[in-house]
Amino acid sequence: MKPLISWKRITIGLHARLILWLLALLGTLWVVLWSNTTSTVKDTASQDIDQRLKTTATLLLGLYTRQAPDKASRDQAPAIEPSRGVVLTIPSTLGRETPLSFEIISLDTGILATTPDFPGAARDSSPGFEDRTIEDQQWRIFTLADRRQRLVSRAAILQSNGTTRADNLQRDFASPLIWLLPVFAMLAVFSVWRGLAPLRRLEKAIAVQDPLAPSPLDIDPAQVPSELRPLIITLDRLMQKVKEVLTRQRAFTAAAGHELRTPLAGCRAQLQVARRSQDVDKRQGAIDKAQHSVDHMSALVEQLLLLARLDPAAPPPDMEPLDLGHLVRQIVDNVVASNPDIRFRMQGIDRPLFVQGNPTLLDTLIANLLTNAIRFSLPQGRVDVSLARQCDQAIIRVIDQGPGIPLKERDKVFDPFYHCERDASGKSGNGLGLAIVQAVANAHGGWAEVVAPDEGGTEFRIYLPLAISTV
Amino acid sequence: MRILVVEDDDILGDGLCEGLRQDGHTVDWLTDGRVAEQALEADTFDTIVLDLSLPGRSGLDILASWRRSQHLTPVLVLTAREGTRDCIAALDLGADDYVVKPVDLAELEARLRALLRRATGHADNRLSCGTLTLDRADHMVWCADEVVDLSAYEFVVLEALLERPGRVVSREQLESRLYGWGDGPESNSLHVLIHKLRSHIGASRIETVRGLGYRIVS
Repeated sequence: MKPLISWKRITIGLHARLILWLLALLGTLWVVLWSNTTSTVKDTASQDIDQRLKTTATLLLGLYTRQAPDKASRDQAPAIEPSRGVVLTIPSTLGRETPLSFEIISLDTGILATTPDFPGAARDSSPGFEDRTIEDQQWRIFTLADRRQRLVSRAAILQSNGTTRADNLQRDFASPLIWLLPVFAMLAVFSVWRGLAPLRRLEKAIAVQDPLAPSPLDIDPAQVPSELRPLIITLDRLMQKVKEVLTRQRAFTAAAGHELRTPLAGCRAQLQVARRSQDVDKRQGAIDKAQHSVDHMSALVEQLLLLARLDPAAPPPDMEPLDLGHLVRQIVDNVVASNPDIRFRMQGIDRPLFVQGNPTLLDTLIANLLTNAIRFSLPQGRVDVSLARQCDQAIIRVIDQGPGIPLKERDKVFDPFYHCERDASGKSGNGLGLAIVQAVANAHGGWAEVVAPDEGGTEFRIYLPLAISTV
Repeated sequence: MRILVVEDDDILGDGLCEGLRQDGHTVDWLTDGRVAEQALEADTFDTIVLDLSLPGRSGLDILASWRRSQHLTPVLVLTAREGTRDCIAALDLGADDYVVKPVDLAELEARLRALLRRATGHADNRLSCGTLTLDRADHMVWCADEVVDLSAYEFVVLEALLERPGRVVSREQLESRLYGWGDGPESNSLHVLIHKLRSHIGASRIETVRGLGYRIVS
């Protein structure tokens, strides 16, 4: 029991399991997406800034070069008037974006134009991109030089602006991911809940089953997912089987009650008669009859207990190798002595035929078959007992010349408390003999069947597996 | 009273018959369903105890057949089967009472007395005519408040006469009530019993109606 409990403790429901898996997958996906987006955004932002720096510097250089095209073509130094005082301002129409700082310098005449915030310390940077710390501020600078016109244009931007740019991009691209995560998580929970609805319905249908009166589940297999269909069909079949077993069990109990009540009633009536009787002989007679009833009941109870012990759920009986021929001969000899008006004919019992069996139970089996055959035999009738071997099976055959069993009753003869109407001679059993025969055969791994020989009468066949040494 | 017991089990049937006889009743016993079905054609009984599982014909079939033939004798059904289905079926087919085995003899007898009481329209176990009173349950007879000591046979005859005061009860009816199908009585034994009864309760109380039988008058 203990491992079951600890196992239960760590078992998580299917819902929780699926949801956990889905959430884990979603989480992983989200983390990958997030980191990917973040790095892309950073790259894009820096590329974007570099592009802007480059464009600005090129634009600026182009602007000043075109001012004196004639001179440029003559490969002379451009005669651009120094205009140190030119201060450019860019209207801040770009919203959050901070404008660039730039300057254009003529190597001959000095600064042609500059934005006021351009860091002077950056003036010695070489062409291309460069990162510089100027007065505790990180700058990114792009320098472009035109050697022929001896012009240098520089564009610079504070690195913090680049970060802001990245942050802005991040906000635009990655923020949907933040609220998508809970939405997807909720959708995952919902879809698991919806997807497992048939399972919950099945669970409910099983939960409402009355264990004492199981009935087929009230679920149409066509209405459930295909994965659950075999489960429902199997469960239905199981319920049907349990129902049959319960019905048989109840019929058995009712029949046992019925069979026990009559002798019990007789015993009670006789004892009451004895108690009230003044006549000694009558009293003695009544007590004798009560005793007879008690004997009858104890025999019945004995057989009921035997049947209970032979139940497939009970522990198997002790087995040993037995010679069936020897066993049959012993029992027939006993029966012959007490039934002189029946002729017994034996066949095949001289050959040793070993089965793995319980001597007491097999004794009961053969004796019950013989008792049954004798009960339905007319005086001077014949009973055939034969032993044969078929593959790895031993067959015991008991054939009587009685009235036979109608076809429709043939599969009922092994039922407990089945009484045959043809038994009109007053010799009546209690209906357990053949049930015990079948139970014993089953307990030995064999089976019992009844057939109707062509020449009339009834033939019982018992199949028992041979002991391994004989096979 | 005269009781028919239909029960196929030897020991129970014997016990019931013997027990009811000890209570002073005349009991006849049948074990076969087919015979029982015909039993009411030739004989009359006061009450019947009928087992349901019988060889030949089932108790329910027999009951249905009796009721179809307008036999109104009270029937107490005796069965070993559990459950109310059989009980309802039997009562609907015309049974008057239902007892599940095993049954107590005293209870069975009391139930039969009750059935008889109901069938004959009496309120209790007492029958009376003038100053003469008979108690069926206690087997006591009083004549003008004096207890009269009667033998079992005398009691049966007086009981039969008191069931229909003033009306004639035939010799055959009295004899079947006394002996059932059992030991055949000598031809004059009823005569002797009537004579003894008259000496106990007064000669004028029992009148002989020649060729028909006897009747009791106040």
